[in-house]
Amino acid sequence: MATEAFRLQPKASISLGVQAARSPRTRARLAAPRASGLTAMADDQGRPTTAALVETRDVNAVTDHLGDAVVEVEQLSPSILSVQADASVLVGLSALREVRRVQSKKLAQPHLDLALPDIGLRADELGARPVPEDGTDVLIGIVDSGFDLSHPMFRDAGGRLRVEALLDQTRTPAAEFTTEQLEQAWAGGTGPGNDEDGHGTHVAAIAAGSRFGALEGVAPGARLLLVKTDFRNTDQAVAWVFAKAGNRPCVINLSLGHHFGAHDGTDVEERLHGQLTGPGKIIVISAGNERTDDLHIGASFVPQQTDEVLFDLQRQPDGQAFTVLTLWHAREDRFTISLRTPLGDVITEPALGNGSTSTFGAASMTVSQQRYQPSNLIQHQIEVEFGAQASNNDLRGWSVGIRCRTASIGRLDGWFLNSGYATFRRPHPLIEAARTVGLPATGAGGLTVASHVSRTTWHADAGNMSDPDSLLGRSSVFSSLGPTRDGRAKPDLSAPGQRLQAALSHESRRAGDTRIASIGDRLLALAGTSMSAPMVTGAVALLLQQKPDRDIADIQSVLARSVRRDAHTGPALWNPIYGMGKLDVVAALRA
Amino acid sequence: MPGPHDELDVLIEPMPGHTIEEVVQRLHDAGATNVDVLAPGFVSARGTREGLRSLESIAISHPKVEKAPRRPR
Repeated sequence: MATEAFRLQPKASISLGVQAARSPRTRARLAAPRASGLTAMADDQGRPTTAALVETRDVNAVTDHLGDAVVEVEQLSPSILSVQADASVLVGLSALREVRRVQSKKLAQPHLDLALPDIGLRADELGARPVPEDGTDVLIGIVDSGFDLSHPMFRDAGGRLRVEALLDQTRTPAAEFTTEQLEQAWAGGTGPGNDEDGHGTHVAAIAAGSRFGALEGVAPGARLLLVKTDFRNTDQAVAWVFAKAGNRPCVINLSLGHHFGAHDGTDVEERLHGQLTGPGKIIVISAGNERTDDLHIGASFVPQQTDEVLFDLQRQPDGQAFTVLTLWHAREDRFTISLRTPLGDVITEPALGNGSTSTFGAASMTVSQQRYQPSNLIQHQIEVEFGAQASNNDLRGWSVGIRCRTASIGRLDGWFLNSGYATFRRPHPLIEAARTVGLPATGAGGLTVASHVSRTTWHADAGNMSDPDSLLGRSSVFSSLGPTRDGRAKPDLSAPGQRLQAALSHESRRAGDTRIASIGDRLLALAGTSMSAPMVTGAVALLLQQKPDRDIADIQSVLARSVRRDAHTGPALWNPIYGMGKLDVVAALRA
Repeated sequence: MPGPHDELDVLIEPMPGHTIEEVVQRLHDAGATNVDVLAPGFVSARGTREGLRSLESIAISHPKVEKAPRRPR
């Protein structure tokens, strides 16, 4: 191994010294914008030059010394010059008695995290966005846990809030606030719509955050309509945002969901979305993070086939336990569903259109079955609820029994209402990671977004952190899989969702988690399809700025022509992991 | 177990042959609150189980489901 030593100049920065020590040929090869952290450019003759800041007691002495050797010089203050010249010339300045320090300019990472380059928004050498669209004249609605409006990512360059209105559904009755009311209330550092959770602040900043240090949202020019939701009346939240937007183009982000439904787009809220969307009105929804949560069973059955699947309830923060399991099949088929308690008692459901409730110790169990009109299915439902504190033994060892009596289609699917209530016990062949896209993401009225990895390491207050099991570019292990129960293509596409750094709500519980929070930087690193959805929401805002009357079919068509397919996605036009492919917003704007 | 006087949030669709106006009037008669017509064919409201039962002949009431933020635990 050959080693070549070189001397650094005491008053020149290390990176500048390293650059100067390289041969002109090597310097030329390394003249890429980020080589050695230097801002390297080329002069009129194509020779590589370097930009530096020179701190001096006498600016005239420096400019006299530089003479014709300089490409560009600009006095920034009485003692600081910006100089572009050959690196060796810059290092030579450090020999002057009047010069205090020569430091190469570092190229700031000019966009949100590593996620914006992943979707094609790579900055040029000067940090400028590659497209003129920034969401100007488009409204972005965020329905989420709340928002820290003291964060600079929600203010424009003049320090004014970019929020047009806020609805707080957690108040009784729900309360609406104007920009002026919010400005006044938030002058003290907190105010209406505040975010104790931290989720909504992060999501909103990804979609539309203003430039904040090295970070920026996808659509920093958009105006915001915010809803601090109670996570139940999200239907009213969506209607409120679109009503506020009026005739102006608007895209709404829903980084939320559940599994209490048929997963075929016929849920009433999904159908409502279909009514509310249209030209210039788009909804973007996270696919879900339930791929490995063991909350779904599904298979094709033949007559007389029987099976039994164990499940365990999960204790809630208040010590109680509760779950609902719904099972769905075609009306032409006949299934008998039963519930077995941990002690072996079996509860069989009553006839179609009926329900029954039983008690077992502190547990109350309701089984029922009914015709589901919107898609002509039969819905079976099992509820288990503990009215008092349950022991750990009470929660474990339940099972659902399935008996197929007749089958013309034969497919049966079941889901617990959401993650965190109960899990099927592995191993069991009926447990399925497919068809774990949740509601309302299975509806046809929204764009459904999966997540892939754009970052595996990040810095937080606890130090340098990493996701050792993640691979750059690969689908996030949690990202829910399609298709829908009725076989439609969801998710629509994938976007970066792991680990995105964006705004931290200073008063949220997440601010205390030193593994993900950087309190001094007001940043938070989170992962989830909650984070990938607002990447697409921001991208849709740019597409609406370009053509305000786009509807969801138009957006899907543009995305189909522009998504990126690589070694991870494969060449297929659609697959259940990535949908059509990975978001490429620049390609979409040019499609 | 929920009782007949417990309130719940619902999304309501008129049955064929019935109008939104008819449903809204019946909701007010039943003492429902937060009545909000969201789109043609969809009304949001809060009411008691007993009160909502009085709409069974003219509309379908869908109890609203609690959602959760999509983040891995």
